[in-house]
Amino acid sequence: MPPKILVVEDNESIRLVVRMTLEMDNYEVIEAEDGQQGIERLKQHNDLALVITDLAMPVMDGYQLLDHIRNTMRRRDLPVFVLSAEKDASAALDCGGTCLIRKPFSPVELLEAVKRAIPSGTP
Amino acid sequence: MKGRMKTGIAGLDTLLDGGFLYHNAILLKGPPGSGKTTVGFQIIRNGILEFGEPGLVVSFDQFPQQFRRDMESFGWNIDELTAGGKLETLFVAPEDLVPIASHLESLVVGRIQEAMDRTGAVRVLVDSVSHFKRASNDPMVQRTLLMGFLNQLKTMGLTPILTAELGSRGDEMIDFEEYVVDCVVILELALRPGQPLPERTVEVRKARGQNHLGGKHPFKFTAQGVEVFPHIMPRPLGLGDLGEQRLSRVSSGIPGLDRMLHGGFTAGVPSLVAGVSGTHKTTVLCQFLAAGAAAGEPGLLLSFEEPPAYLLQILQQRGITLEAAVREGRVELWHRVPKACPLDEMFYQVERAIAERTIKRIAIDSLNDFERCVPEASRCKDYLILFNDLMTRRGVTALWTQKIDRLTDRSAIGDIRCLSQFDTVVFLGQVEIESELRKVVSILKGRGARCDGDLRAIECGPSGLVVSDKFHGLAGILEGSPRGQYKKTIEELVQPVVTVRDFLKMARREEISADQRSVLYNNMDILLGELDSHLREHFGIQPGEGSGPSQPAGKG
Repeated sequence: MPPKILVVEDNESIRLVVRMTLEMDNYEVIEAEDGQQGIERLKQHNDLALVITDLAMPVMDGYQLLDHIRNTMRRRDLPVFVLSAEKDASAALDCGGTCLIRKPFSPVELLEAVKRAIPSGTP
Repeated sequence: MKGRMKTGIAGLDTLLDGGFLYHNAILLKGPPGSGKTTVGFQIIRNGILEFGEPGLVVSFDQFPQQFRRDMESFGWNIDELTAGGKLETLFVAPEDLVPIASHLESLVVGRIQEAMDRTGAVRVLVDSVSHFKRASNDPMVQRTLLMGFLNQLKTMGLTPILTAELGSRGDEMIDFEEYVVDCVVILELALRPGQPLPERTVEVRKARGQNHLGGKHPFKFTAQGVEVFPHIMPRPLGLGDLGEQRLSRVSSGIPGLDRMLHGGFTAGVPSLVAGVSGTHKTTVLCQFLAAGAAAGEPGLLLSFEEPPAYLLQILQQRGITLEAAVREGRVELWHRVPKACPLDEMFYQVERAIAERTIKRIAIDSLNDFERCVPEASRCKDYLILFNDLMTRRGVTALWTQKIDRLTDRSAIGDIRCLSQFDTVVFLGQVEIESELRKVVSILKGRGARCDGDLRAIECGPSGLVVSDKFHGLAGILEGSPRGQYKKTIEELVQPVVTVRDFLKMARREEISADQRSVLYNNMDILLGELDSHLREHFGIQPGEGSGPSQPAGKG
């Protein structure tokens, strides 16, 4: 079973790029359009290996999603990549983000970061 | 004997610096219907029930049943007090005031002495001394009668409370009874210009031997009697008025807004949410109160806009649950009608709520309506300063809304008033971006604290307001005419180009399989198709339909 990665992003174009990038290395991609949907997907898939999230999203933003993962779900072990164009997005690292990837991002670099975060053999 | 004879009437003892002095003769004076008898009897009744001081009522009224009916309309049971031996009511004729002989007391004084012996009375209400005029037509005789009567009551150890009709001669004429008493309290009923209802006022015009607060102060009849609302007098704020909470932050209840404010609003000082209609100003106030209720800080919403029941329904639709906090008393919702809300009364009620229920957060919706309550337009700022100072002294964080009329045509910010009176100012507006009306939020002012100057989108989510996108690359939004490209440019135009560049590099690698190369080319094809579509959407460009390079005329 390939490792599952949740991509939480309101922009369809970004979701498409991330999906293409990850699927080239055989990761399984689950998508959500905002933080609220992200939480639902997290509940549905308890075997997620990584979350990649945008910060500025409608309904529920990435900060709230991070807070939910770290404090409500108590998933301290789950790596969460923050994908953002905001200049002050580094604040997300203080809220539990594992690493920050700035938009526009290089798919090659994204793949390398994902490989580092998910040890081989992780479901 | 204690120093002050408390009236037990909320607000009146404040005007009297604690109450009347014992044995001072007190005159309650006013036109018919101004509440003299009610105030007088309330002082007697409170003396009995609250301060253990029995009392007497001496009435010259020709209709005893009317007095009883009027007092019982407030739920005051005269029979109960009388049966307990703490109250006696004497109905007497004015003629009985005249002593039978110069060295003897009058019949009235004799009856008072007997009643005092039976009850141990401390207070006596004489209703009213205007009837003394029926005892004699000669003003000199009237004056002598009143002075002699008062002296006898004082000698007996009583504190007399007299009522008297205020004639139609006006304030400039002072009746003789004002000279012979120690304290004069004037009750008035006046219709102010522009006000739909007459305003009742009370004024301590004279209070011999004691401090008092002068001026006319509003009062009203409630189901429990009379309640007085002393003016709040301005005074400078001292160091002691600004507690430690000034440096701390209180959550707005909206995580994105808290981040823009670097933690929330400054505790204990006033803040403002200004914006055009329909930009969620009231919702911001309610989330601020909900956050307070959750953090153990009771709150109060003073609304001149939506009635509580309607407001709760609206909030429920927006995913904000305030109903439980209201039911449990952690949040109070007050609805007031601007033109029928005397500010002194409102200030007094707010101050009492703060003292009794330890209110820590107050939200006022809106400043515009608050100003409509101010009797003189030129004093709006004075009342605002008074209210905000009162909140600061009590350590209460106040959050106001202000409505701005302009929508998107020109700068709305220039319309925000009283900016200097608020430490933090949050602006809510609406702007048209790419044919869409978006609600925006920005922090215009953050005195003495860090705050972001970003302009962000704000919208209603399933659990209240959410602050999201920053408008990257756009300028002129607050002026209502955004220029430049939106953050979507990065996501929809730049990102596909960067991705295709990377995919191309990957496709050129020798180690990848033919299948992988095929997937990469296919993906690049899809991305370029997406890019075409976005270029058309953003700029109206049709990349695939160009006419090719132009050539100078005449060259084949």
